[in-house]
Amino acid sequence: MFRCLALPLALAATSASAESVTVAVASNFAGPAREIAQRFEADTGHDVRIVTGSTGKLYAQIVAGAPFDVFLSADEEAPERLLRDGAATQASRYALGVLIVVSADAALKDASCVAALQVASGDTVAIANPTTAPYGRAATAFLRSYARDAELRVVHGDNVAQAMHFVVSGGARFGLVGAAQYHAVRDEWPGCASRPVSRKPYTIPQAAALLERAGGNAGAGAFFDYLFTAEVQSLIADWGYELPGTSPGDA
Amino acid sequence: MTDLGPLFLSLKLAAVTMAILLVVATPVAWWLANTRSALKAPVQAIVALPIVLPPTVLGFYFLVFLSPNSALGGLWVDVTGSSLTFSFTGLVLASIVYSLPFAVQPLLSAFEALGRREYEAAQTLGASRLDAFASVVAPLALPGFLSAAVLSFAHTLGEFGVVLMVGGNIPGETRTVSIAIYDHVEALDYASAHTLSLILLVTAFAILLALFALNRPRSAAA
Repeated sequence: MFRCLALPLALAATSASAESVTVAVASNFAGPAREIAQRFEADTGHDVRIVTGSTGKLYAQIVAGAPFDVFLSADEEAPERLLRDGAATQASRYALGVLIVVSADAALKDASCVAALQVASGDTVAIANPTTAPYGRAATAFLRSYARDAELRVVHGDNVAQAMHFVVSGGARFGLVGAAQYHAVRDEWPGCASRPVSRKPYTIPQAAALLERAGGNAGAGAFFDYLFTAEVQSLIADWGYELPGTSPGDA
Repeated sequence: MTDLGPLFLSLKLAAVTMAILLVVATPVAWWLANTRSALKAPVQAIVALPIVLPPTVLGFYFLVFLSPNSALGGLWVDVTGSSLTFSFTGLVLASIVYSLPFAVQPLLSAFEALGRREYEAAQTLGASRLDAFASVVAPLALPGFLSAAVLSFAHTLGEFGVVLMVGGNIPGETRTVSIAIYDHVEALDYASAHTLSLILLVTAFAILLALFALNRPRSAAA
């Protein structure tokens, strides 16, 4: 285990051959990532630590030297930029994110969420912050074309998970979130949810990057490859994502 | 089951910060209590700054000055091989600055209330300055030390904004309890958020209760 010399901090927590992998995950993918991490730990014995946040914030932290080994972004630009700047050694699309319109308002239980959003007047709609979160940018574009005539007060969550929290806690009547945010709570959802918006340009191509600082961490490389196995890809589809199909951006 | 790791991390951070702050703040407070220098007011203002400044400002400056691209952060990487940002050591540094006024103020009040009489009397009797401070001033200012310890510990325990900016939310390293609660709320795991919040609420109350009970004026106790 000579490569442990480069990872003095990882030593304390890990046993002889297992490595510790820190994965930075865009908030929309936190649920599936935790499930994938559990399976991966059971399959390989490596240890996975998950850190969540908006894509923009995680990207900034990676550039500032954050000790992440793998980055599951909510866009393709950030991983490609890391690849170009030498901060990543591989990048590839692992999922195609889709937006979904939700409302926790029980009065809308049997209504069409999109139709209710379009005639809303004075209601609050929560989206992820478009400055730092790709889901926020897609949501802004969606509102501009589909809810042009609605009178909406748009509030920004730090990321798409916080936007969903605003909806669940009742602070916002509507939310534009990732399909995975809804998937996690759909069994006891009191209000309405639209069908996933799977049309361009509202879909969100999401790429993963194997970061340069993972170095010889075999666990990190294994986790990156694990994302593209048939088993994990079908798990990702179960969470409401479309599958990437072609995988551009390979190193 | 709620993961209690972040709670222990916060307690560790608070304990380490408190211990270092007591060492750092004592000479600062003693100097402030006794000096007639024109620098007293500016130094007091600098010490009090973290009370007024938003944690985002402190956090932003820490991110800039501790990052591996900066002089200090770069030197640290050269010496230790690891980065100050997104590390426990970085959090300790940030917490020391963030909680500094909460250690200095109680000590300053205690030293000022005490005056210099006993200290000077001890020196007249042949004690060295350090000895006079350690055997005369320190025991008399004990309530001040206690307040400084408790307040800096409690204030660090409740730290959020600064950690959010420089911590990076890494489990076992920089995911303190306040960050974990924020995370649980985002993940819609309200049960875990409730558990950790309640533990913090009770802990904060117990700490303050102990502080106020111990600091009760002697006359009221009699």
